[in-house]
Amino acid sequence: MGKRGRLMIFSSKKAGVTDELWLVIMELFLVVAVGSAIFNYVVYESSDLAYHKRFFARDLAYTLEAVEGLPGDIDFYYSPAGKEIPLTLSIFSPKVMMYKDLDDYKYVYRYPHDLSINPLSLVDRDFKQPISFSKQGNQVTVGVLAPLMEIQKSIQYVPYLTPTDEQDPEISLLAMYNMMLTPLFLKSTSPNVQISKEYLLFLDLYSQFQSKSATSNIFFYDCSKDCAQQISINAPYIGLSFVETSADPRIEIYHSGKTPKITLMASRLAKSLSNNLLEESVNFLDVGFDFKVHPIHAKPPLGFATQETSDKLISIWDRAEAVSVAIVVYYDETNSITINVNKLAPAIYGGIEKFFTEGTAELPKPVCEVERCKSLSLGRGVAPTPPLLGCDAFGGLDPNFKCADENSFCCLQKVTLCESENNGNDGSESDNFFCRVETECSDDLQDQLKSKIMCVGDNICCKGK
Amino acid sequence: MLGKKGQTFVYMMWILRIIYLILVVTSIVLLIKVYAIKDVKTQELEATLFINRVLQSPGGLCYYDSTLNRVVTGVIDANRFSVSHLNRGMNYGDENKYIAAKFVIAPMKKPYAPGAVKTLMYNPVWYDRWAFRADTGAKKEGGAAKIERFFNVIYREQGVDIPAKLNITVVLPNE
Repeated sequence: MGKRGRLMIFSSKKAGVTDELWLVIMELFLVVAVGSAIFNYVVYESSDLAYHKRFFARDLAYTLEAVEGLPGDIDFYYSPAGKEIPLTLSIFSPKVMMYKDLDDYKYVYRYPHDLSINPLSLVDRDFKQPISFSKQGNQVTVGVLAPLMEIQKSIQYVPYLTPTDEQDPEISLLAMYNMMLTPLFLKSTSPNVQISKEYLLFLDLYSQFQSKSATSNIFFYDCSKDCAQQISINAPYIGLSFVETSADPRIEIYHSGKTPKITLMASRLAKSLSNNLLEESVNFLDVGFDFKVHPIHAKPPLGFATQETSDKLISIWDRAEAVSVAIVVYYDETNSITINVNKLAPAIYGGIEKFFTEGTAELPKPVCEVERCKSLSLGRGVAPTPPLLGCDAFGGLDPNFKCADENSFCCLQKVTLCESENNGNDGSESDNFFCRVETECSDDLQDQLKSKIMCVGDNICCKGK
Repeated sequence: MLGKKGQTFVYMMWILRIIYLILVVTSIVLLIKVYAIKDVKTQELEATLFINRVLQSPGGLCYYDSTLNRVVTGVIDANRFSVSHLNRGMNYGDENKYIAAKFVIAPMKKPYAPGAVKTLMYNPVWYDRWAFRADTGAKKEGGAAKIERFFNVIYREQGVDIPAKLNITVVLPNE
């Protein structure tokens, strides 16, 4: 400090003092400026808003690609996990999706463009509400669902991306599970009704697909009269009923409930449908439509098309063992609502794909018939044979089935149990092993196997007297 | 008072000091930027989307019924199993530095007849580069990810349906 006050220090005539001071001030200014910029950056990046914006934009980009690549038309609805996220989304040229953040456009995703599909024009659009993706023919549009909000508020939207954990976020996109390369059990019941033209085309398409698809497990049943006569499901199943009566239209999802996995997959299928079939749902909402998931043993609800048919189906499905999915469609003469199969199919496939990809892994193998089970102890005290070797004479091992007896293995062909002991011996009947009542067996112990595994009932495998 | 030489020395020291300050500040900024992870790894999802699109969309490889406006997924149309068709349905612009794939379709029945195994390369130049990088297992930038899927399909050639196995290998560069 000098005589003229504090500012004297800036005009000191001492060598270099003033310059030194200006330099320190400049350094301080630079550090403070950079520090505050970094602080703002870190605070913004760690905020929920930035996080949600980033994931929401990316999820939308993936959803758009999934919708654009679907096999048919679809109306698809999306909600950002129940939150209102102010997001300005842009698609450029028309393959790059970007979003505006801090007055700057940020790259999200570059997706392929089908040249036969009209480019989506979407520039600077704010998404604060549930978003609709619509693909009709070769036209893809994205919109906001403001007018339908009141109707749809009771429907729970399933967000594809739920950023719950910032450390290890997982992206799951339901729409990508639309692969139709999985087993599909398809049948229809149509008691006294006119099936819509669209649905007939749908059935026809898949009947063709089934008949020519040697490698898939797609089964088609045209149950125009009595479906129960034709169906022989031997599996835990998920069944869908599209009940379209003017008094009580609804979709019902049944499941055999034999494993927790089936139950889980049925509820996922319901969610998938609730997202994909929203247009139909909106129609149904006026009459109290709701999705129902309940076991097949439940009493068929009022309005179930034909009590007799459903009872038969229940009794057949109750004996189910292998894996299948049943789609049951009921129409009523007074039907005034048409299901758009172009939307229905992807919705169903989405659920079924998840069902088969995730549902089969833990399902137990179906039980092999007794006649095909080869016991390891058939060799009269001989050491157990390896299963493959044991089944060699009977078409080899069938890996898809499991015998009730843990010591037995399922063969592709019937195991001629007792007779197999004859080893091609063409002698008289008394010289050969057969299943007999014990009193008819030879007294020679060498000629008695006394193995009930090899015979049905109380008979034993032995040579005759 | 410093002489001219002395003043020059002081100014040079200033420059060094400012350069040093800038280096320190830049390092801090870079460190923060590097450790602020903003993106998630979505390569597998992107590969699955690509595969789904190739197998399902009207511009993909599967048989398309124009009357119904439906794709019969699971039936590979021999007429569509070509690079030109794939480039049309999966167009990334002039230069595709985002994704590449190899499709191999082989009949179920062995032994194979000559020419029965068909191979289709999508973006072959980058496929070779990224596949090599993916095999090195490099996790960061410069590396790539390889995702492989198998499907049982019908290969429809001149009206004949052949049960076949489709193997799709997708490679993507790490971002």
